[in-house]
Amino acid sequence: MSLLDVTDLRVAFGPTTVLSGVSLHLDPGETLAVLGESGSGKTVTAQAVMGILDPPAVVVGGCVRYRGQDLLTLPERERRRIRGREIAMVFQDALSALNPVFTVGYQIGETLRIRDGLSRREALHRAVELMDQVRIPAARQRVHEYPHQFSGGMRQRVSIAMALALDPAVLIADEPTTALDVTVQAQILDLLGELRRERTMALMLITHDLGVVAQVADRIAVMYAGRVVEQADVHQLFRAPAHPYTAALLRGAAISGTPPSLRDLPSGCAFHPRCRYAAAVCRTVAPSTVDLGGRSAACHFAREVLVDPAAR
Amino acid sequence: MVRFVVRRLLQMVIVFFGTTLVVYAMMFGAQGDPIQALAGEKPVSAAQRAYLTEHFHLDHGFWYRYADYVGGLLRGDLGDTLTLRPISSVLAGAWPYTLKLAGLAMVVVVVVGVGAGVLAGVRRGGLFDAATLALTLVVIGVPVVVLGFLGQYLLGIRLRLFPVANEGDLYSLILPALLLGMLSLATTVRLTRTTVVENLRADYAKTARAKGLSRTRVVGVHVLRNSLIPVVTFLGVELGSLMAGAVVIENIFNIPGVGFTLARAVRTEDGPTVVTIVSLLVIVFLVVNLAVDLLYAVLDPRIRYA
Amino acid sequence: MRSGAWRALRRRPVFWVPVAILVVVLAMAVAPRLFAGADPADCTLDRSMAPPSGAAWFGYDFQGCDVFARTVYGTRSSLLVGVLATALAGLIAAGVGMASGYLGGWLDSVLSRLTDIVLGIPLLLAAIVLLHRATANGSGHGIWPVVGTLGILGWTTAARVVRSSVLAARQQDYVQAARMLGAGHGRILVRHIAPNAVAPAVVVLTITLGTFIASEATLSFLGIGLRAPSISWGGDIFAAQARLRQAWWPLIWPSTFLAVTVLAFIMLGDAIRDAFDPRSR
Ligand SMILES: Nc1ncnc2c1ncn2[C@@H]1O[C@H](COP(=O)(O)OP(=O)(O)OP(=O)(O)O)[C@@H](O)[C@H]1O
Ligand SMILES: [Mg+2]
Repeated sequence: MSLLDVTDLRVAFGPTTVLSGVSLHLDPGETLAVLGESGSGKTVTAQAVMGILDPPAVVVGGCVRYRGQDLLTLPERERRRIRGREIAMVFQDALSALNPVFTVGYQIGETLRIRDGLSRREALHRAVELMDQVRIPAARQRVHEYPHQFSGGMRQRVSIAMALALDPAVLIADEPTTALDVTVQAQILDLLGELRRERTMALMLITHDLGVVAQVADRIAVMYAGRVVEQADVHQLFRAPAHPYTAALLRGAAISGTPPSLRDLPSGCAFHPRCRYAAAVCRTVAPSTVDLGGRSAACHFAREVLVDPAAR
Repeated sequence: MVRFVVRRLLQMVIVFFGTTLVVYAMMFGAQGDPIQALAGEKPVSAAQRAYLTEHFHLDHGFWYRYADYVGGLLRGDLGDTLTLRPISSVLAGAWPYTLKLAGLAMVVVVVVGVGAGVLAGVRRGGLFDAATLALTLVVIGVPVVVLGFLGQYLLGIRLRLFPVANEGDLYSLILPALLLGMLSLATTVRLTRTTVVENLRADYAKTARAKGLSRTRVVGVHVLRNSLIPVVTFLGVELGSLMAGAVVIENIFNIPGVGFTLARAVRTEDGPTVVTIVSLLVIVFLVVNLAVDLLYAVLDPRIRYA
Repeated sequence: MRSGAWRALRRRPVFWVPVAILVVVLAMAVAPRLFAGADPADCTLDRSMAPPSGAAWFGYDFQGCDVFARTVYGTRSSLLVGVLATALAGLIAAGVGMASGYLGGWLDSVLSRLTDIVLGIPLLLAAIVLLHRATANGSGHGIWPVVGTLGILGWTTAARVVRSSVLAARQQDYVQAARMLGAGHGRILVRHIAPNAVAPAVVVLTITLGTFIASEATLSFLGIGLRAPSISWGGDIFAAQARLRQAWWPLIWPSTFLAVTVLAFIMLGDAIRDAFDPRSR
């Protein structure tokens, strides 16, 4: 059984459906990369799993199982117990994700004080330890500083330390390196990889950077227009993609046509206007997810694409 | 922090001279007979005229007199009324009333205003929110003169909940303070609501929820602390309308405070007292706003460590 | 006005309610005779404080004047003071704001500091000083000193709004283009920049108008605004409050009219702002 199992998750913003059936799973200790272009619904998926979507966004269907228990049907109090302790999250922009008026030490130690009943001193002590673990130099002094006094990379480390405070089993990192420059990006990714190994924690790494994926991921889920279109082991996927979108991504060629507007999705398969393999059926019938043995893809021609040498 | 304080102090010095100059010039600048400006429409005898000319240095130029007046203010010498009593002794008995009145009003504004604003912001679009928006619009629209009498009539004369005139104790100040606070209260509610709504949408509020904190804690600690920053600034500025409101309220309820003294000086056409009291109030306003700016720095570390 | 904003306004009661109120108020100011049968100057002491009755629905005040007639006739001076003072404030604000925003440089610094200083002095306090001065120099107690005082002191918020709109408009490409094409300053200001400042300035000035009417009442209440023979709501409120324990009706009607008028202007300003900036809700 997977640790986290998302099945057919649907989210709508008022009349607009932004997630039209997202399915993915995360096994203990593995790194799953969620890959997709901007607007494909990666952040919405992550926040729906956390249960922190803001209105008008509502989950309109599907389920999110954590260790077999459906989180979506849990009362808010129970759900809150899962947040931070079982599943924690790191946000894209650490500057706005940290509260500007509290010291980083306060923010890292807050959950420990509130939820584990640590004293102020103990929490501060733990915060210094956590900052050491995410390799923030001079943690003992810097614990009293405010977020704006840190550099971008250090700030993201603070966010990570904060997410690790309660020792979660799953860490969702939503594009944790997008706001950073290249050298710092690599450091943060290395750090996340190390932390995952040390703590045998599962990592769901959201990104739109293929390089990142190749570097750290065990498995990949590719999203397009609010759906997971392909899910596979990283080696399998790089060797032979099963979805034309993934294939196009891997080729690195610019994909013709424009990304779809969620307000006005193409009929049938949302990718068909940009797809080399598109046939009549693609225009009318939305493909269901095809199991390809340890991997899956949502394409009418998944098996053909899989063996097509031109797709690699 | 030190640089910030120094810069603000320098700014305040400029504004201090600017405002006192403007107030003083409004009274004595440009054309017109300064003696008549001082004494209003009352006839002035030749002897009085000579005395006033001497006392207020009217035979000197405008700048000399302004310098003399500001110098006096800075030394704490407030000068004399038209009837030549020291203004400081006139005001000595008045300050405590106004301080108590304004203090009570501020407490009402902060406690009720911030409380209702947070609640309306959290329940945005709900019944409480709609009711507060409508109610505050009405309160903002109703002039303090009307509000004062309405309150006095309904709560004081009709329902007899409160004494209608000053009896010297704190209790008789509650109704006037409530009415005085009402105006700023409405604006405070609206401002608090807006900033709370904004901050609830901020990323850090999401982070706080993702940490598994309760909604009460997210709103009460994370959001509130950030929302207070603009509200505090506003309250500093709002002290100005609170002082102007005090002039009206003190007259309605016969509270012998500074505003009452000012209105009496206006009626008896006592120019020096009018100018001095207004200058003093403006200076208090400036000092409070300086204090608010410093408080702002305490609340917002991004300014403190700029 | 942008047509989108106008369409948004047209559908909202918060716009039409104050408009309806203000139309009635305006009619009262223009033709008070149509609304009040009695003559406000027809006062006899033998019906002093007579309560509301069939003959006089709103009763009589201490002087024995018809309260309703006085209230209706008081509309004119209140509205006139409000409108004229707002016009004056609007003119000053337009001048200062445009000069400050368009010309910039040291002029902008000086004007901005001046605006800060005037804005920093509470309106009512400054008005007391200025009006005291004006009346003492023999300008009398008509509407002009009040109009002048409020206008001279109340332009600051509008000036700031104009300045920032002008600053924003000046950066626009089409303005830069017009300048390249050699259009003169006057033409650029009038054709391209001023229109951008109109909507936000109208919002601020509508609300200012409401506060001016309230300020006039307060000043008259304090005895330095309008005085007899001008009829003013504030003056009547002052006269009535001294005898509030004996009779409430001379107080209630001018208060109600004052409150409703001020409220209508503020609601109108609010509605217009919301129409132009839906996010502000
Ligand atoms: N508050 C909102 N209201 C309406 N639509 C929204 C809102 N937030 C997100 N969306 C829509 O939901 C869709 C998915 O957005 P999401 O933020 O999940 O994309 P993403 O894959 O994370 O993109 P990015 O790589 O830019 O972060 C987008 O089309 C976006 O327009
Ligand atoms: Mg995203």
